[in-house]
Amino acid sequence: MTGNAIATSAGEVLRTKPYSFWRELSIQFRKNHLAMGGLAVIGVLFVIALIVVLFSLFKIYFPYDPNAIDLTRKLLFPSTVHLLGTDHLGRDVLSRMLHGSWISLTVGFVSVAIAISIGLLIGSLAGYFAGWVDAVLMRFVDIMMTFPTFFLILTVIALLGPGFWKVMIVIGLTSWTGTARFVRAEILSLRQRDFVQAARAVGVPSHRIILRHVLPNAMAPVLISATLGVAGAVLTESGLSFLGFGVQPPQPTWGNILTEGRLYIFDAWWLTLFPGLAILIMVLAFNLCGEGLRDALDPRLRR
Amino acid sequence: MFGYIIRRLIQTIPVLVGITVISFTMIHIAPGSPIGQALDPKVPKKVVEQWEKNFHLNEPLPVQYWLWLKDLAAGDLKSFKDGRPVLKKILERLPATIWLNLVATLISFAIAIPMGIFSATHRYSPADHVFTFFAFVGISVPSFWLAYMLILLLVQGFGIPVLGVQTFGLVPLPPLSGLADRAWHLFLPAVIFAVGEIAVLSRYMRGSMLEVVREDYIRTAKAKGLTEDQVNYRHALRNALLPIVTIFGFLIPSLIGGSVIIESIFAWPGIGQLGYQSVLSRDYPTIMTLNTIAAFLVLLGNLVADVLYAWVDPRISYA
Repeated sequence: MTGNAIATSAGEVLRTKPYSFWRELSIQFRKNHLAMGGLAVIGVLFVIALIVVLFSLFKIYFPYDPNAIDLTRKLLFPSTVHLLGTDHLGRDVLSRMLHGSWISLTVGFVSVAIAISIGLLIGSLAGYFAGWVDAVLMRFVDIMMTFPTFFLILTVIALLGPGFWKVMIVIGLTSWTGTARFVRAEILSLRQRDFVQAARAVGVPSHRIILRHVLPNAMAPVLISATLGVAGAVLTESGLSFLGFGVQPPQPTWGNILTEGRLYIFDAWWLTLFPGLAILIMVLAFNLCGEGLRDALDPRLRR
Repeated sequence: MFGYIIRRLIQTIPVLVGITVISFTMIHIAPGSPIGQALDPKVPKKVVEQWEKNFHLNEPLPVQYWLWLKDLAAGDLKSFKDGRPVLKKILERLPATIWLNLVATLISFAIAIPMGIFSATHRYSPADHVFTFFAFVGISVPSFWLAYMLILLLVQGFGIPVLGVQTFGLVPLPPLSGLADRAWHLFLPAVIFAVGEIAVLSRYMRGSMLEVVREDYIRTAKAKGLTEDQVNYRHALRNALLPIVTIFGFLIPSLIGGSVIIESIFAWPGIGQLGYQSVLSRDYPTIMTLNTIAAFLVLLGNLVADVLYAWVDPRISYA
């Protein structure tokens, strides 16, 4: 408390030095209960997925082997033995959903990582070099933005054939345009700032100016769009699974458990209800978190 | 204004060319000839060659692109599946999709706008928090899952038929109850469609209203002693509704993009279902045309949105 704080007569402590940017962001974020709830849910999902993956490396499955077929125990109603019931092949739904959790998370994170990398690259090139580089790249972004994203993804996956990696790559390759646009806008405004001019004046090379001086200042909106992007990617994968073009069975994902289950919807509703609920909770958590970050960054919304 | 529209149209030309190039090349990223994928491998070689000739597949790519563009513009493009003109197939499906979108839009506007206004005028109240939470649920819920849950509830719980345009086997119905039957079959997919739209639109309305409330003229209105309601509904709301008008422009493209999943669940014979069927049967001419038209519609929608905005808001001029 020494140095940057003073005590008033009322005994309150007033800070004289402002908090750092990220500290301020975290303080604002914590005030948002919905967003904190979302973050907690994401944390729990992460821990579950991590434990399941680690144990499955040693061939330890719980509560059951997700791929163990037992036709004598098919379509069982949820009970204490099978908490979420069994599917049409007698596989335990809870085990399948637990093993599907890390696939959903991986799809979300990998496709967003791809999208953000492309968006950062295109956006910073266009914003920093401006002129004709900007014109060409942004026309390309305009073109990509006009296609109906879901139908485009569906078409490309149908042409290439479905698969775990292909789904992530195609989602990533088709969802970078938003990031590219705001990174460009951010950098266009930053490149005129004095500190960038100063760096240029002392002869810092362009790539170093972009990477060390400009991009770190544009990271907060990237974080928001990444968080919201995970939600979008998980939802897109489940939609693709639903149409039969997602990650393929027997690899369990929430999307394909639901899709297999809908054939038995009137006999075994739990096969559709639980995976869908899981998707909803995960997507909701990421959306709440992303919006919480956005609000925390917007000084007009501070309370 | 007229000059602005002309300039905008000229600016879109390179984008239009780009759209057709990408729609065209996308089909050729798949391994093998497009015909080999679409036809049964047992089909004799002669037939395959005839097909390749009919669809210009034996020409070099740039020539193919040119011929495709010409056919597309003239409306002569034929479907792989049944040899019928693609444009005609799409136009047949258009009314069903428009009806679905129209009803969904009406439902979502009717619910979302009052919801957004209420949230904004009662900011941080319990009701605002509840609406906010449900808006997030609406954005996050997988539409197909929601559809199945509703179907389960209605069919299992109440024994109400829901799929298709009308109840199966009830074709010779008296006109009035026939109409009611059709309306019911339209209602459910429209509701599912509307859920996501309500969520987005109500947040948008809330934000727009909160934005306007900060303006100086609102402070002036309050200062001269108007009641809260007068300020909110007579002064703030009018300006807060302006950006909402532009939403109409963005609704045009959702005619194709948004409905693939919902139309296939409800067996709704619209454009989304046609798209899904063409993807399944690898009907490339139809897929390419749908992608191109959808992209064109987005451009058109953006233009309409900008023009509408300038029309309703005199502060904006595109001179």
